Amino acid sequence: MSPADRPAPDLAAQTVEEFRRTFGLVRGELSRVIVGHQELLDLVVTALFAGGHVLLEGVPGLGKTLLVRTLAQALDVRFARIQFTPDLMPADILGTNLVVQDDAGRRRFEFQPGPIFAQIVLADEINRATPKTQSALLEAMQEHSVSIAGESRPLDEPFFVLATQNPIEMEGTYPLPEAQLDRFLFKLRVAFPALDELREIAERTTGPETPGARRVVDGAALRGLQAFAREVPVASHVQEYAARLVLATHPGPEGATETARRFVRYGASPRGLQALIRAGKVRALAQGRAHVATEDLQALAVPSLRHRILLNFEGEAQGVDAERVIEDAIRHTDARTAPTVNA
Amino acid sequence: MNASPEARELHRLLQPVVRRLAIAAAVRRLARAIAAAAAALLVWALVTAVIPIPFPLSRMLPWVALALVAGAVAAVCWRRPPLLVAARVADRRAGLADRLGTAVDLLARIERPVGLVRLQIRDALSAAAGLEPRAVAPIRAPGDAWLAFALCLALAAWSWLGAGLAVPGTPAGRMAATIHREGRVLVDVGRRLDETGRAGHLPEALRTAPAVQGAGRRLEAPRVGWDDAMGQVREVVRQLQAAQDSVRRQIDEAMSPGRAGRPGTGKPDSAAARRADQAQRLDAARLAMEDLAGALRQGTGTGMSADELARRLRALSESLDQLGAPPGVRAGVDRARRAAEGGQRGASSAALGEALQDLQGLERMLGDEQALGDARRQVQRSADRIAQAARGGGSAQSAEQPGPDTSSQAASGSNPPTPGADETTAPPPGPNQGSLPGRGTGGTMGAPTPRLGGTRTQSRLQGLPGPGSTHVREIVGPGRAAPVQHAAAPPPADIAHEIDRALSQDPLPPGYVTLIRRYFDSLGGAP
Repeated sequence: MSPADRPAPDLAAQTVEEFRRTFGLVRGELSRVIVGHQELLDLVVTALFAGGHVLLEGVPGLGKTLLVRTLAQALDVRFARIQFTPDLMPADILGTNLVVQDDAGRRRFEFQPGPIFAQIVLADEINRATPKTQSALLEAMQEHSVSIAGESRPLDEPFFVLATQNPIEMEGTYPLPEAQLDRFLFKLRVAFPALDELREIAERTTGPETPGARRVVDGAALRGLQAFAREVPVASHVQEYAARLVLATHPGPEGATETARRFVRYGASPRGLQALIRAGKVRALAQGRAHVATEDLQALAVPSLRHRILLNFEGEAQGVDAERVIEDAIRHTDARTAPTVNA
Repeated sequence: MNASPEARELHRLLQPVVRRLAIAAAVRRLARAIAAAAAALLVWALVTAVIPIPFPLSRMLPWVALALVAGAVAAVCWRRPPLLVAARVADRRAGLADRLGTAVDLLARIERPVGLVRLQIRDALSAAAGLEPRAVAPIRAPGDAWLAFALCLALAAWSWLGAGLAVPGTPAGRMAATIHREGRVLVDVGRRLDETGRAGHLPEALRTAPAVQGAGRRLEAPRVGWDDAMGQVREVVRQLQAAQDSVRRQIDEAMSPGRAGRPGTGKPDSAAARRADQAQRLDAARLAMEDLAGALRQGTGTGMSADELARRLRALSESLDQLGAPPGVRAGVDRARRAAEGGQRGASSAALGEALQDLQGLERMLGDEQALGDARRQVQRSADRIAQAARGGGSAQSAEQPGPDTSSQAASGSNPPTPGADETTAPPPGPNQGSLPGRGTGGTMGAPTPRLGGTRTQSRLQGLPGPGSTHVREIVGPGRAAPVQHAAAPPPADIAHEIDRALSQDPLPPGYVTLIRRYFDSLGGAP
C-alpha cells in the first residue's frame, strides 16, 4: 500500500476499531464452543489475522480438531481436513491429474485439486505421515501455491493451515523436520483442562444440543484485515528489541544467555523474527493500539520461537525446555535494552 | 524530530520529564560522587594514622562540596537525556506500552505522518498530555545516598574522635612524638621570652610570650596532627614576625622619622647585621654619653675644662649625626653642647641625661626586637624539625640534639671513635655505648633527655666604664725560657703623636675614641 493509499487518521481509527471488533467476534465464536484455553484461542486467532500457520500439540481428546472446525465455521471460507497417516501420499494432499473422457470420447488430463486447495486446512496428526508427504506442505505454507506437474497453482487467500500432533504417542511417527517447523507461525501446546473446565465441557457437550459457531467474517474481509495489520508501524527500538531477543536464543553471539550457551545447538531463525513482528502487529491492533510494543513481543516470544530452537545433546539430556531458553532470553534482553538515564 | 506541530507538541509535553530525569540522574551522580569523595577522605584519614601526611579536612571540605554542587548543576544543565530515552522511561513507568517512544521514533524518521502512523502519534500525544511528570520521573534519594551518608558519618566520627591518632612505631607515631617534644621546646621558648621581657621591660616580648607558650601546650596535647602542628607553629612564627616588624618600625621611626614605614627592604641577614652594627654603635655612643654625663655630674673635679667639655660634646654630636642616632638624642646632645659652651654645666647635664634616656629607650626597643628575633628563630627551627620529621629526613632524637653537641659528646667520651672505622659499624662496648642516635646496639634508645632551658642572650655590661689598672701576663709555654713579648709600656712620643693624629683624622665615633684613649691610658700614659 503506497503512502497515498493509506487511510486518513480517522479512517485508520475506524479500521483499527473494525479490526478489533472482528478479532473479538471470531474469538468469541471460538469461546462459545471451546471451553477454557483462552490464551490458546487468542493465539490461534492472532495467527489467523497475521496470515501464519499454527502447529497444535497436545494429547488426543483436548479439542484440537474441534477448535479448527469451529474456526472454519466462524469464517466464511472453505475448510478441509487431512488425516495424516503413514500411507498418505503427496498427491493425496495436493491433487493429481486424472485422465478423463469427454462427451466426444476424447481423453485428456484434468487436474483434480487436493484438500490443500481449501482456505483452512486441518492437518491432523501431521507427524504420522512420511517426511515426503509432510514436505508436500512446504511450498503451500510458504508460497501459498503448489507446483504440480510443472505447473504452479496458487492457493486461494486466506490460506491457513492448522496442524496437530500428539507429543506422547511417538511410535510410528515422523518428527517434523526443522524446515517444516519453521513454516509455522506459532507452535501452541494444548494443556489439559482444569476441573471447572472439565465440568463445563461435560455440560456443554452431553446435552441435547451442542453449541456451534456462527459465521462472522468472510474471506475477503479477512484478507483486508490481514493487509491492514501489516501497516502497523514498529519503532526502531522495538525492532531492535525483537532482533536482540532472537539473537539471545543463539549460543554464539555476544548477547546470548547462559542457558542458550549451554543447551542450545541452533537458535531461532530470521523467520522467527518475522513471525514475532507480524504477530505483534496483530496483537497490538487487537488491543486497540496502532503500534507494536515490547510487551507484545514478550507475550508472543514463546509461541513464536519455541519450535525454532534446536537443543543440543546436553539440553536434551537434562530435559531443558525451549520455553526456558526463551524466558531467559526475555529477561536478559529486557535488562540489556531497558532505557537508562545514567549514561 | 521533524518540525511538524505534533513533533513540537510532543517535545513540549515531554520536556518536564526530561528535566526531572536529568535532575534525578544528577542527584544519583551527586550521591555517588559524595560517597566516593567521603571514601577517599576516609582512606586519607586512616593513612594519616600511619604516614604523617597533611589532612586539612576543614580546608578541603568547602572546596569539595563546592565542586560537587557545581558538577551536579552542570550535569542538570548540560547532560539531559535524549527525548527518546525520556519517552521510553515514561512508557515503562507509566505503562504506556511504548506509545511515546514509538511516536518519538516515528517523528524522527517520517517527515509527513499519515494513516496509522499519524493515528499512533495522536494516541501518543493524548497519552503524553495525561502524563504526570512527578510520578514518571520522581526525584528521590537514590540507593547510593545511604552509602554516602554512612561514609560522611564515618568521616565526621573520625574527625571528631580519631583525628591525630597515630599508630605507635609507624612514621606517624614518630611524628607525634616529635610534635610533642617540639611543643615542650615552644613552651620553654615562650617562658624564656617572658623572662627576658620582664627583665628588660620589653613590651612586645611580654605580649607574644603567652602565644608561644600556648602553642607549645597545644602541641604537647595528645593527637595533634602534622598539619595542625605546622599550622600552629607557623602562626606563632607569624605573630613573632609581626611583633618584630612592629618593633622594627618603631626603631626606624625613632632613628629616622622621615624613612619610617619601610621595614624589611633588604635581606633579613643583612638587616640583622645592620641592626647589630647599629646596636654596637649606639652602645658605644651610650658609653660616650655616660662618660660625659659622669664628667658633668662630677663638676669641675674632673679637671675637664668647659672648652674641652664643649669640644667633646661637639664631637659626640657629630658622631651621633654620622650614626643616624635618633633626632631626640641628637637634639639633647646639641642642647647639652650649647649649655656647656655657655658655661651652664647643670643645664648641660640635664639635657645630656634626657638624651641618654632616649637612647636607653631605643636600646630597649632593640633588645625587644632581638628577643623576638631569637624566639622566632627557635620556633622556626622547631617548625623545620617537624617538617623534617614529616619528610622522614631524620629521627626525632637527632632532630632534638644539635650537631656540635653530639660530636663533642662522642669525642669527649672515654671510648673515642676508632680512626678509620666505618661509620656504619656500632661503637665498641663501653660507657658510651648507644650514646649516639641511631648507632646504639640496644633495642631502643629510651626516653630522650630533656633539654636544658638555656638560650643564648646577648650579654650586656651595665654601668659606666671608668679608669682602672690593666695587668698583662704572658704564659710561658713548655720549652720556652722566657716570655717573647716585651712588657706593656707607654708608647713613645712619636707613636703617641701618630695615634693622636690618626684618631683625629679618622671619622671614628666618639665612643670608640674614648675607648681607645682609655686603653692607652691604662697602659701607662695618654697618647
